[in-house]
Amino acid sequence: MGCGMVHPNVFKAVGYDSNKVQGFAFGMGVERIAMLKHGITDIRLFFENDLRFLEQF
Amino acid sequence: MKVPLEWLKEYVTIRLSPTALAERLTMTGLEVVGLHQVEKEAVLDLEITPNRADCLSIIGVAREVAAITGQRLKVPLAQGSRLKVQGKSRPSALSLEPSASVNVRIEDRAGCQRYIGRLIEGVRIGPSPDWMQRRLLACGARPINNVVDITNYVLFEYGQPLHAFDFDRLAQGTILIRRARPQESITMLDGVARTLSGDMLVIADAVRAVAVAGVMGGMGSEVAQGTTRVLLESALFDPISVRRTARALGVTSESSYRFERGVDPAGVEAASGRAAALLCELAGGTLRASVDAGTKPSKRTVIALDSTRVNRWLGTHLSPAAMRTSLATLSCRVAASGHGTLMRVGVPSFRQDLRGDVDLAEELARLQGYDRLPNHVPTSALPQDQGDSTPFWRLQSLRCLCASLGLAETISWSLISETELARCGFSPAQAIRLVNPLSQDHAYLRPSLLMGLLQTVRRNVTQGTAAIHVFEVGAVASRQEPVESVRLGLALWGTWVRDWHAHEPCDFFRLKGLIEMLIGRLCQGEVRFVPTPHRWAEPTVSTAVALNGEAIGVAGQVSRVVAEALDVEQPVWVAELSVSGLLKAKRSPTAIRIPATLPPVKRDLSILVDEHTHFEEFYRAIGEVGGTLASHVELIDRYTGKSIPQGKYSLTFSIEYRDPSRTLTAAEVDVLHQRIGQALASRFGATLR
Repeated sequence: MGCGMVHPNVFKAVGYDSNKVQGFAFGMGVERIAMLKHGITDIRLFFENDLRFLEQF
Repeated sequence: MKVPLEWLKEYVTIRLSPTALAERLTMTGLEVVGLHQVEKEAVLDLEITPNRADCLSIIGVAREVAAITGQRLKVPLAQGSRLKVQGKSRPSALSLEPSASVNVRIEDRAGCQRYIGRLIEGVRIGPSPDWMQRRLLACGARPINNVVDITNYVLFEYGQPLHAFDFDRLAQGTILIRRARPQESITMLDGVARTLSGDMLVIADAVRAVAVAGVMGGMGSEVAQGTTRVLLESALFDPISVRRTARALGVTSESSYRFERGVDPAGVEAASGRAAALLCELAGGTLRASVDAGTKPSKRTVIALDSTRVNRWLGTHLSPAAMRTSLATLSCRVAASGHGTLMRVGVPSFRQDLRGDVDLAEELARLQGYDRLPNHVPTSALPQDQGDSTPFWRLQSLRCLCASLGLAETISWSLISETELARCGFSPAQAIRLVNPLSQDHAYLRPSLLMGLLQTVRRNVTQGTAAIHVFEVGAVASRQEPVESVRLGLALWGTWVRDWHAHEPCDFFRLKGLIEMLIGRLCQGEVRFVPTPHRWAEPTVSTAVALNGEAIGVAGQVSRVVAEALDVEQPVWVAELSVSGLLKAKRSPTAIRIPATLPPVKRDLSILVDEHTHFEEFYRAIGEVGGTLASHVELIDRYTGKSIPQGKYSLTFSIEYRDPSRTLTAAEVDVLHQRIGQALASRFGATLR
């Protein structure tokens, strides 16, 4: 999972005072969580739009 | 970047095992992606992030290892007595004897800040020593000859790219750093002749370009068997210029890789000295001249650092003294600046990535160890839950609605190919093309969901599916609409299963019904399907969808040409609606009609009409003439065939007449019913049956 502190330049670009606010950003791919949950072995299945796959949800 | 451990150990004492060292390096930000054995020597394979250009050398990595393990860096003694120039010297240009004058001139200061040239005479070309060849091989370089190997060796050692020219092949012993001339071409060391453009920086002699600055040398001035006089280049080129040139030419080299990430300005001189010393020692040369053109590196960057801010940033409780000690291990010079928590940090020249206090905070965090930073749950209030009125939840409920209507959700690529665009009747000029697409299959932003839906249909038809009913919610963008907008796409193919024994083919009415149902659930607005030609659609089944009089999308049957191109049997039914258009019309809470208590009077109306007149027009005409009294109009039969003339069809409407306040008389209903029939006859030439 990628994560990190938001750079002050990013705050500056969107008009926040980096002396007053700070941010921690983190995120993970939703597909990967779904893969763990449903035992899916190939991430490409999410984008192939095969109805035999889609209709199970 | 490959780092032979035995070479690294020349500059720093390592007490850790190779695996333990790899773990430490990874945890402090220099990721070790492999630990290999090359001829029984351990070699670390590092994946250096773009900000750490200083670690693209053995000494750089040694410096990092020293910092994280608390050891001292042992810098090689490069500049020995051998480096004294033999003969008279002048600082910028020097003439030793009539045959050997070195002249270095930087014409383009923006592209080249500094250029050190050293003339080494009496060189004997031959193989480099075994130990050097072994190290080069371990670093992934191919040994060539002693002179070239020395330049590569010092490149790996110092991270400073160097180049050796055969001095006797440089016209008039001149080095000129300039932009390429129009149509100037050069055969580079990879054997490929390339034409340069005017924004590319080159090293030229008095006549022609002899190297592409910072990228690769040219064949014409290459050091080869028989070379005796070598001009050694050590320079500082502009990272952006090198990057652009390397990309435009499609050439990357160990040299361009380092220049584009930023080399240490202070290393230009040190590496030049080191390589010159090695050329004298290992290739039998004598240093005859040194020219230093351009500007010397500027002073250290000084960053104001407030330890309170760092601690707030990291959630730590480090004392200013602890921070000073930590930063000093990275060769920073730290001075207190009056106030107790403030300090001024002088950054070493090789750390050009350290620009602000947050960069220093990051250094402190990684030296401390990310795994040792304290854990805290955030204490500030989280924003209040906005319920289902947020755009996310409104989209989510639209998706659920589509799924409840029996459609499966699909997700397709937002990038498409030119072929797909053209197939659906979009000209590539209408679509937004990526400046630098990864492949031609994904070169354009999709201007419509149509392409993805059709791919989905095609894929599933190939799989042998009998029924395809899908939707997709996704963003589209085009040149006319450069701000992306979210659309809902629908596609139907094959049968629509009503129940176990009734499989009806999907048709336009199914598609229309789904859209009406959707809109009915969302807002009960008035939907109209207006015949409108689309390039992707069959001319007779091609409509624009209007909601409350405003166009919100399209619906129709995919044309024969498109279906054939996709190799899918007709018919394919598709629709695309603007999501903002759908969601804008909110369902009104007062839209409920109170059920009437008085009974209606029912009359049927059968007409024979021309097949090209749309049902919609009859329906509207009945409503218009019938007014509020015709409270319910329904089509109950549509018939063509026996007893119906060619080009005509028969429609039967059931009309309910009702007045909520009184009982209608049969006579009054008959009059109205007749007027409706007459109106249809006079407006559309319908024959009453």
